[in-house]
Amino acid sequence: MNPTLKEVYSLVLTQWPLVAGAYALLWAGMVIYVGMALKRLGTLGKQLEVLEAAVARRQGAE
Amino acid sequence: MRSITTRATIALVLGGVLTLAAFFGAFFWAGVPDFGFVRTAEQVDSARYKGPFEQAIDEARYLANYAGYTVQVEADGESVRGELVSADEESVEIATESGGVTIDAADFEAATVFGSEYGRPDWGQKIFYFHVPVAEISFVVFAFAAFYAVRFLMTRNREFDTKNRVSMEVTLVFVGLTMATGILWTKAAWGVWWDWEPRLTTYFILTLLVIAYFVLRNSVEDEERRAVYGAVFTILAFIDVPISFFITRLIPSNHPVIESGGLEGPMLASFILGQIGMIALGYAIYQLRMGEVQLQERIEQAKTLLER
Repeated sequence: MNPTLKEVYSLVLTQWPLVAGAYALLWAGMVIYVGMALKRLGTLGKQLEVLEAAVARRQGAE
Repeated sequence: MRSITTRATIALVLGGVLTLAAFFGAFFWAGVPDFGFVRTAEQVDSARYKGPFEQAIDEARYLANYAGYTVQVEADGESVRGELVSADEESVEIATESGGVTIDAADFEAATVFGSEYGRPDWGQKIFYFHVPVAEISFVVFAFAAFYAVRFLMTRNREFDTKNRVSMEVTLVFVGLTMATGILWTKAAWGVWWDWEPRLTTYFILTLLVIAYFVLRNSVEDEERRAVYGAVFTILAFIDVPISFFITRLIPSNHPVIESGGLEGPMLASFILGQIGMIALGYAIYQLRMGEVQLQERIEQAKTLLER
């Protein structure tokens, strides 16, 4: 690369790690939060199924 | 319950697609604006070339930064033009076509530096495409939280308290993302991690208020009092939202403000895609959390039935 162009780019490319860091934080934060919410929803759904089946069995027995 | 999950899934997919489109638009379609300039001694082929520049210098020592540039020095009533070799507080050395010339700093009168100027690409601006939508959503969801707080105080219906709490949780997520991306942008644009300027200060206060809301809720055991305190606190804390939003327009601030017509073409399209995508994601997160709360309530009801 032309040394002068190299100098121009070296002055501005220092911003790249910060841009990449911002996007990584944003996407990681969003994906982790949504992923955890979906996982909790799944667990709660299974718990509810078991409990409702137990309630139905009890009501059937009565 | 199923309708909530369906709405959340649709919003998640829509938000995911739109934010991905905004991401690719921001990096592969929208250009990079200039912020400031870069100067070089020689001219090189670059789309960012702005033209030649001339810089007047009034002290010999200031020439030290321009080694390799073409300079014209006025000294002792004479004018010397050539390539600057070195300069300090003692002397100035110039390479001319007829050979090297050393000028004593005491004889130095003035100088002009000649070179090329280029726009400095502002890569840090790429953060803006998501930082701004995330910040806007934090304001919008906070407004919903305040609305549900008012509704709760008017009706004392617990459903509005739940919506208020979930809205505040979503606000906290977006406030956290705004702070994280904002701090990195501040470092990229201003060279510092933090600056106590009006927008950053008022948004920092907003962050503390959102955290304080959850501290307050967790410190009150009685459910009725907790709901009332939470609602009143939300409404009081919401006062900071318009202050934080408008402060950059009311008093001098370093924080950039988007003005009408400030963005055009691919930049504007990517920005709008990012905004709509973030609205969809914010809605999806809210619906997911509401679904979770409703499932928990149904589990409690089923447990109560079984314990009878």
